[in-house]
Amino acid sequence: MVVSPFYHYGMYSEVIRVKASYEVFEIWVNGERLQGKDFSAQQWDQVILPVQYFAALNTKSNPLYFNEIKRLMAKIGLKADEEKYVATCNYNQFQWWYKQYLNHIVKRDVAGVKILSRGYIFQQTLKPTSTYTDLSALCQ
Amino acid sequence: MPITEKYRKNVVYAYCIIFYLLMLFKWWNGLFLYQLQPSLFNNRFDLFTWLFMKTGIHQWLPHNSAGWVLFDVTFYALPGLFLFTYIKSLRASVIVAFLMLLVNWTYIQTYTLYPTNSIESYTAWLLFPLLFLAINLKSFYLIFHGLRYFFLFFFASAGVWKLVQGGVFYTEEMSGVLLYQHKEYLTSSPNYWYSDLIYGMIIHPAIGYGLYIAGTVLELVFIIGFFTRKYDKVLIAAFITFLVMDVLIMRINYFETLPFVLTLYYSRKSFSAIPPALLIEVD
Repeated sequence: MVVSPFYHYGMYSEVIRVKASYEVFEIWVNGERLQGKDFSAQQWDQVILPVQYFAALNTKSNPLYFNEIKRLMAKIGLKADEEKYVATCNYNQFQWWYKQYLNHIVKRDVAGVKILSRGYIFQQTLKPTSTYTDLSALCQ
Repeated sequence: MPITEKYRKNVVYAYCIIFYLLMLFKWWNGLFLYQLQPSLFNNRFDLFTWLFMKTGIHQWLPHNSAGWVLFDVTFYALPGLFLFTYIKSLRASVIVAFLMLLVNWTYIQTYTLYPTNSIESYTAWLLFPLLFLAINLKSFYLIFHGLRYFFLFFFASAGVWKLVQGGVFYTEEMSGVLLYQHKEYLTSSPNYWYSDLIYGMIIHPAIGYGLYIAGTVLELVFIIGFFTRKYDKVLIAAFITFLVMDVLIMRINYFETLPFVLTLYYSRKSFSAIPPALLIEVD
């Protein structure tokens, strides 16, 4: 655990192995996949990060509350109310918001958005597999 | 060379110039709160953040367009207001500095809970207002050097962590890092020159590993700063190299740490030689 402003300034210090397969987010707008090369680093982060945050709600963010925040706050005599730390997975709301949000970034009318988490295998390059999950299924 | 009020003035002006240049950069890149229009947050493993989250501000702000503007205006106006009051009255500027401290902590804690950037890169905004709380030059000098040590710790600890956690001993580390960092980019833009460059480093681990070792050495070099200020200009060069390489290879910007450069640039000024009369500040 850290305490602001003394963070763990690791900057990729842990061992990160090359894996045989990766889960990769694909953002499809009006039937075309958004490509990183068409965006600045900051814009690309704006495209990808909200999706990663949404997908992490039930796998990282909310479990952090149930496993650590509640327990550790109690240890210092403080009550951590669930509603302050746990966010609901509301895919329809997120999709509606993300569509409006992308309009500003891609600078064209976003009629339809599809977000997939697809499996890729690494063999010199990342190669797509036919296995994928819709973002709606990642946070229910 | 002894420090004088001119030294403080230079630091204040330089801080404000850096702040407003970064403000333009962030506005240009759509990184103000009103531009990001956050809708969701993620928890992080930080006790202070958990205490802050008890206020519920992070839940009030999403979908609250007036709140975004209020937060942006307050955060970006305060350094200007501080500079204005500093020119007029040092004592009045301390009140603004205290306000800036509160606003910066609130803004940064909230901002980084949303899908933006990690809070680690925003520590300059969290800590520099403490410097501006100092009325006399002695306190200013001591806090300034405290910030310098913090900055040295920032980099040196990153190097030490790489030794402790073992990343530096794994020859395919950088290949793993690059795949993790750029997987969405690489798969969406195959055959593009940047993807070829990154893939080149991935499939030739010696190149990537060489860069990782160089990065670790660069971070560890900051340990020198704990013992002497003689090489602070070298550390500035190392820091700029780090910023540039991080943008080029990782597509990560650590620009918000730039104010810390001031602690290295002005570090050679000594306090010991200052005439006692200058220690008492007047408006």
